[in-house]
Order: sequence, then C-alpha cells, then structure tokens
Amino acid sequence: MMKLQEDGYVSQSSALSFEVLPSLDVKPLERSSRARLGVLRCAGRKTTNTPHYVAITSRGSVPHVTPDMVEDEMDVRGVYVALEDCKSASGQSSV
Amino acid sequence: MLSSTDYSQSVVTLNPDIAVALGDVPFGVKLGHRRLEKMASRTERWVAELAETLRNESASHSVAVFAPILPIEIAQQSLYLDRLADDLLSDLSGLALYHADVLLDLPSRLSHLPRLTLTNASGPHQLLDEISTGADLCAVPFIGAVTDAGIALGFTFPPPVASDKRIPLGMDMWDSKYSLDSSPLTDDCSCYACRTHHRAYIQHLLSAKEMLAWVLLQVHNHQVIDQFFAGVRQSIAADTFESDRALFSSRYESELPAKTGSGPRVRGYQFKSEGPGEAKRNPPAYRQLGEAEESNSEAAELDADAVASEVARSSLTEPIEAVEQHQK
Repeated sequence: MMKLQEDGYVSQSSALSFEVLPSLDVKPLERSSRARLGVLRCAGRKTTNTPHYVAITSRGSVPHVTPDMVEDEMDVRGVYVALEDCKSASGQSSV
Repeated sequence: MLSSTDYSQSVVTLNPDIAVALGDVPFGVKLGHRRLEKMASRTERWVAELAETLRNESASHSVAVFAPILPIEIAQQSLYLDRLADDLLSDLSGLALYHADVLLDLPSRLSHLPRLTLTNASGPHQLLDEISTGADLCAVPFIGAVTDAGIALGFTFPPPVASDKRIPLGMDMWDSKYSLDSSPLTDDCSCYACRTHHRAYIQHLLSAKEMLAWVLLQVHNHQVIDQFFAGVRQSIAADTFESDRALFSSRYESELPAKTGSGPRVRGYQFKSEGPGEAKRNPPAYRQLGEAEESNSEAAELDADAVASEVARSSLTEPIEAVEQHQK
C-alpha cells in the first residue's frame, strides 16, 4: 500500500511503515544525490530516522556486550539475526 | 538442507519485525550459466511462498517481508522484479540488497520501499557508497572484525578540517604508545568507554587479554558508527552529501588499520571445523615449566597458522609419497 504525498512517499503494510521524506529546500530533480532521508516506524518500536545502521548479532547478541549494556549504553535501532542462530520451529536441529 | 517451507514456518514461529525472504544469493561461488537463469525464478517462488504463508497465518500478519534483490544485473532478474512490483507489492514492506549498485537501476515502482543492504562493506567509505545509491538501512559487518582486532574507530562525517596527512580511520589499541595516554578513545565521544575510561586503560586491558577490553571497544565502535550515520542524515538534509562524501574519501585513509594483536579467544562457533586432527585455533595459555625459556624466545604472537604449520612439519604427518615408499 503506497500513498504519495508530493514527492515523499509513505509505504505501509503490516506493522512497519516507511516514509521517504521529501526534501524541504531542493526539488527532487535538482537533488545532487540519490541518497534519501526516511523514517521507519514499527509498531511497538522506537522510530528510526534513516539512513541508519543495523547491528549484526552472533548467537542472539551483539558480540561482547550483554543485553543490558545494549539497552542502557548503546542506541541500537535494529539487529540482524541469522536463522542459523535460532532454533527452528519444529524443534529439530537448526540448519 | 533448508526448504522454503521450513523457512516460512520458522518466520511464523520467530515472528520478527522484519523477515528477509529466502533468496538464491551466491556467496563466494562463481555463477554458472544455468544458475543465472534459475536464480531469479527460484527467488520469486520463495518470496511468493513466504508471502502466502504469512497471509494464511493471521497471528503473524505483522511480520514485514523484505524481498531480496539478487546481486546480478537488473535485466537478468527483470521478470522477478516485475512480479514484485505487481502481484506481490501489497505483501512487501522492503527490499534486501546484497550489492548496492543494483539500486542504480531499480524500477521506480519499487522505489518507495525501504532498502536494507546486507553487503560486505569493509569500511565507512563503502557505507557511504551504499548510502549514495539510496540505501536506507545498512548492516555494518566490519565492526565485528574491527572490535575483535582491538581497534577503536575514530572518524566523523562530515570529516574535520584539512590536515597534511590522511587521517587514520581508527587506532590499534594494542600499540604500547597508548600505555600512558590518559585521553578518551576519541574526543567528543559520549559512549560509556570514552566517558568512564581512557586509552591507557583499554591498552592495558587488551595486553592482559581481559574481556572488558572488547566490551568497551564494541560500545565505542558502535557509538562512532551511530554518530557517523547521524552526520550522514544531516548532510543529506542539507543536500551536501555528495561533496561531503568526496571530502571524506580524501581526508581519511582508505582502509581500516590492520590487525596486529590477537583477538579474543576463538570460540568454536566462529570457525568451521575441517575434520578430525585439525590444529587448535588458540595459542596455548601455559606450558610445562621446563619449556619456559623456549616459550620466552618465541614471540607471544603464536597464532593458529604457526601452530598448524608446525604440526604439518612434525613427524606425525608424513606426505603420502613417503608412506608409500616405506611400504615398498
């Protein structure tokens, strides 16, 4: 589902919505870069302004730091978790 | 073997915020002609299957599906992209990219979707290249290697004022020149490590192989990247991103500092076992008392490669030709 607002877009399906912010001063064709600003909103999560980074995890955590450190001392807005770090649905050995 | 059905079921069970659909993404494999032909259609099938599974599962309709864009020419995956833009568009919440250059030719019907790059970016220059093609979320794979190497990152975006030499992207905290340095890792850094400790302490922790060294470095390095992205956002808002990016690539060194020290002890899940009789990955922590003189003369930098080559040289392993000779 996509709504067009001038030259910004809002994309929303499920609980995640992403809005490409229109540039306030410069028209899209005159913008010097394809880089774009956006806002990522997910139900129950902090709003994230993009571009932003996604932290990589290993075995369920950001390496070397405990979850309380991630919560209190770091401002991680998203983590990448690989399937092989999770037990599979049926409880069989993970692939 | 992971089947598409198992993958979709796992997504339902795990219920993540975002699930990247299965894609036929080659990692380190040279693509044959046949594979190229099949990659896109397979990926299309897998994305459709995941979308359908989630549609049927009412409880997990809140999982956002990101479709993988394959790291091949747009023309070779055009049918797949057309399907994404038509039938599957209402099921998609974003795109996952394995090579950011593909964004340059992305069909405009997909341009409203957020883009997650899952590449092998080796440093901030590569991140800037990705952002310049239009990436929204970037995985930063190099932080892990940098922290493990005992390197503290130190760069800002936009870069600071011109200096004579190129500025290094980070500091190798193993270097004993930091052992008396009581300044924070980087100036103006508000991370826990820089607020509470100084360089000499991190250097000491590393030389003592203390876990806290890597904890503090990881917190600091993530903060540097966090501030880097904040700077990127400001720069895009001001429409000076491309010039700032050019400045960054001229002011800073092109590569991260090389690893000199040893990382934390290698854990079993960090490498793939090659089979029975393989060499140990970690240098021995202590030896018999009588071997103390020998071990002092050998450098403390005994690493897995040295151990492995020593095992190969010893009489325990003989080349096959020699064994056959004996048998004759």
